[in-house]
Amino acid sequence: MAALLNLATPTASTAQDTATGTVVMPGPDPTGMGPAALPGSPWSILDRVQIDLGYTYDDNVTRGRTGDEILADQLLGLNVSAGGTLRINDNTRVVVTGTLNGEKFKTYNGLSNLSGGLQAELQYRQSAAFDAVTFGAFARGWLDNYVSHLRDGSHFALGINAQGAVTDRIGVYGELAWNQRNAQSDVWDLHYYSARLNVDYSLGRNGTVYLNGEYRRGNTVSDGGPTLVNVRLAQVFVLDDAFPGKQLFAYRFNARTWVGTVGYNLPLGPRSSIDISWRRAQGTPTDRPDFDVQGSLRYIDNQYSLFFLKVF
Amino acid sequence: MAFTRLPASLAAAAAVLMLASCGGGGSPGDIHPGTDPAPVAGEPNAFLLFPNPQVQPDGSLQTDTAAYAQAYYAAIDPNNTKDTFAKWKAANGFDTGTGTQVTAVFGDSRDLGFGRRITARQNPDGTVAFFVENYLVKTGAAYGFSPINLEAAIVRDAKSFVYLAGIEFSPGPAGGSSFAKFFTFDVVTGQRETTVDIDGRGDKAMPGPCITCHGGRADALTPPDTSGKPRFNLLQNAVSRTRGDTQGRLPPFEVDGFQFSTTPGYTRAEQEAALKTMNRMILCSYPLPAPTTFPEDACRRHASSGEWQGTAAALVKASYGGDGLPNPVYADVTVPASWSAAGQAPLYTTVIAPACRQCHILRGTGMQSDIDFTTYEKFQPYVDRTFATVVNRGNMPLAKLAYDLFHASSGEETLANFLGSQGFAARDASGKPLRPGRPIADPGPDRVLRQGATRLSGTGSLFANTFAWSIASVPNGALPATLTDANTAQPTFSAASDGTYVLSLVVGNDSAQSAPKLLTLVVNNALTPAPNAIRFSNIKAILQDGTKCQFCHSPASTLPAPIYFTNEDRDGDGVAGSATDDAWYYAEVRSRINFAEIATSELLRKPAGLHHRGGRGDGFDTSVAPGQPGRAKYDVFLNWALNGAPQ
Repeated sequence: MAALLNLATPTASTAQDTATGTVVMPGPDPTGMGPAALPGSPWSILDRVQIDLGYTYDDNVTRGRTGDEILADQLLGLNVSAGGTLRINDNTRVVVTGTLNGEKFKTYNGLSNLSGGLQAELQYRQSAAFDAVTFGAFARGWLDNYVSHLRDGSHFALGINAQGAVTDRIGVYGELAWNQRNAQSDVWDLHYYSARLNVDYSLGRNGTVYLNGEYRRGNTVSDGGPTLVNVRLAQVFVLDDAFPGKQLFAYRFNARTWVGTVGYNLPLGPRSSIDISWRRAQGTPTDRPDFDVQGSLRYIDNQYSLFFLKVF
Repeated sequence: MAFTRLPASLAAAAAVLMLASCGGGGSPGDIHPGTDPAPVAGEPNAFLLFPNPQVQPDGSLQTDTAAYAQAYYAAIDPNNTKDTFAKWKAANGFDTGTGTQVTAVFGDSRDLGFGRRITARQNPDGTVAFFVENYLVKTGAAYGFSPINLEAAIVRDAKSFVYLAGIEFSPGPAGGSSFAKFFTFDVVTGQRETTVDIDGRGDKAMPGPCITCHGGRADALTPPDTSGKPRFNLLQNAVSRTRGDTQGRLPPFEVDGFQFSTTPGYTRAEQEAALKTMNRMILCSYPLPAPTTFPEDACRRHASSGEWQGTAAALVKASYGGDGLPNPVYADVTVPASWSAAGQAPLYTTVIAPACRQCHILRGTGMQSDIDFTTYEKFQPYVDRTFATVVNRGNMPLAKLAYDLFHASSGEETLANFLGSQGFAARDASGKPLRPGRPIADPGPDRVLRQGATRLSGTGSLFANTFAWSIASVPNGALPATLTDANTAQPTFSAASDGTYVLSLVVGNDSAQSAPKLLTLVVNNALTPAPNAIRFSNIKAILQDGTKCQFCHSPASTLPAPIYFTNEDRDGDGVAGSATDDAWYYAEVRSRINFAEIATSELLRKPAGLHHRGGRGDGFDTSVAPGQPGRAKYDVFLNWALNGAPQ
């Protein structure tokens, strides 16, 4: 369930790669060792195939700070993932997961994208005890193709994580990662560190409530007008072709970004569920202009999502 | 099967991870703040340089050297009492509570593109000073004005503060009449700077970037003083009689050409009063031709005999409603009558007013002010130079932003129409106005020479890196003439027979070839003096031959000229005509040769009667062929200049 939940965590509006962070990548299986390998083989392939289909309303796809910079949109998301496992010994295994993700925006089609990638994670669990913690080290990589080709490129992440069950109802997952994104435009050439904590609270047959918090430190991207404040914040900027006619410039800057998610996952059966979530992100520049700025430098973004999840 | 498929998956994962670490390399539209726009290859890049930058034998441009700036500051501030911004402000009385002090903030959208915060003051003794904080948000994009530059000026964004200028109208170190002095200071340390980059095209030496537009002259440095450092030139027609008085002026603030913010406190309506006060101060810097009772004229010095008046003061007055300055708000003057009468009002409104007037209105002398373009009749005789500088060379308009704005405006079409009406081919084959950047051959001026080897020069050609010389015609019966290094900028021509030879030069660059340009060489082996034997003594002898030149170019003239051709005690050592005086004299005369475009040298054009109050001198008739007696003196001057003007 938790694995399903991790997949279900809505990640809409990945276009700016600021608020919600990463494209959908399957999280680890918090139960530890996962399904058994094929008989007579250490390999277990396609032990998990999942499809997510959902809708998201994003009230600030530009990650804009001021009223004239903020644009909202709606999108449909489809994610397919499949994973396999290589058992190394009783305590260690490698989990490989592939993902294909697509997003279609209603108004700002430049943000629509298709991405695909892989994650390889080495997991270690000291024992099969219920409260034993599973430690992991992972590498993720994926390629993006956007309608706005400025954003085309790739992501790469290296990190470590730990997960375990606190009680029979509460599961916890924590992750530290270094992230890099490269794109056609330097604006989306990003580097940042992230720390993430996820808590699942099981309601039994009534589903799972989850809380997810993430803190990022490093590059992020916003869109804004050609103002002195934005130029002073920007490390690099480009006229954003995702918002035609708006004269908005996408600019990269250093920020502290908090992302929080509250969600509820309702099982529809043994292998499907409905997931509802609210994600809120806020990014605050770490480098302020030398002059007094009218208003806040912080952007706030809210995403409201409804997803259907199916595991095969 | 599974055993083979999953390692393949791992390999695929590794491949994806490797791919994912690849960079995109940036898009053409990326803009990195803080970077200057790079000059485009093949485009003109002589902005803020004098058309005659005083090319030295080593190829350096003397007006753009540290020595020039140091000599300038040494002339106007010999004891370094104003070598920091703080000292300069204190010397000019800023923030003392006396006099009048105002500040205005606006966008200089037509000139240099800065957001500008100007603080001006007029002291009780009548001296005037301005310091100008210039803000430019370097976006790395095309050079130009942006409203965010104005925004930066309003909030005084330190990162955008690129240039700090000080201008004062005050007496020289030894007192006397006030004149304009130009300073620039480091925006962080406040130290006085010898160079400044005000258009992203690299540092240029003071005071050039200021006085190119502010009416100043850029004559060559004169012999060193006792410390061994060259001295800034002394313009003999300067009322101040002070080295460092370049005859630069304080330009009026043409408020209609500015951009203003909508931020409360910085709107045009809220800046008008301060700008009018500043224009009143500027008015005070112009000499008064005749007594008046208008209060705005009370601060003006009475003009001396033959002193340049200019029309900037009249422009200020007219822009505020005339005498008495009754109007609180600036309004640009209407088209002057002479331009309208000539049917050239569009030329004035789309070309002269936005692209030429600001600088040209400050130029001229009491004897020769037609370069101020204040009437059509003054402008029209400059049509050849207008074509050469605007359409061919691209060094006018003088500032990069003004240049860009002009070529993006309807003025370009208007000027092309005008030039066409004057017989100049100002359009290309498709009918578009020609722009600078195409290769143009310049084999040098037609000349007379002796038999034997003569080095030619096509270095005056424009936007060219290939050269193809050829001999187009030779005199009948002449011995064969030769041309060596014919594919270089400086080939050698050799003739063994007298007569008229015609050569052709075609130049090119990576994208185009020029039209052929013909050069007429008249070979006369009896020519005296031989071109390579001409020295300054020959030139001086012509300048002092009779009274023609010296009538005006002497201290006795009632219409003083910037240079004296008489033997004077130039170094002030009590002896007139000493070796030092002669070296000074030589430097002054040489500085009137434009080695970047020799045929346009004042030393050649003035005695030939072009834009010269004294008309044409005997022996300077350029309507006749080289070698003819009617232009014998001109030929001497020309050959001396072509030979590097040796002393």
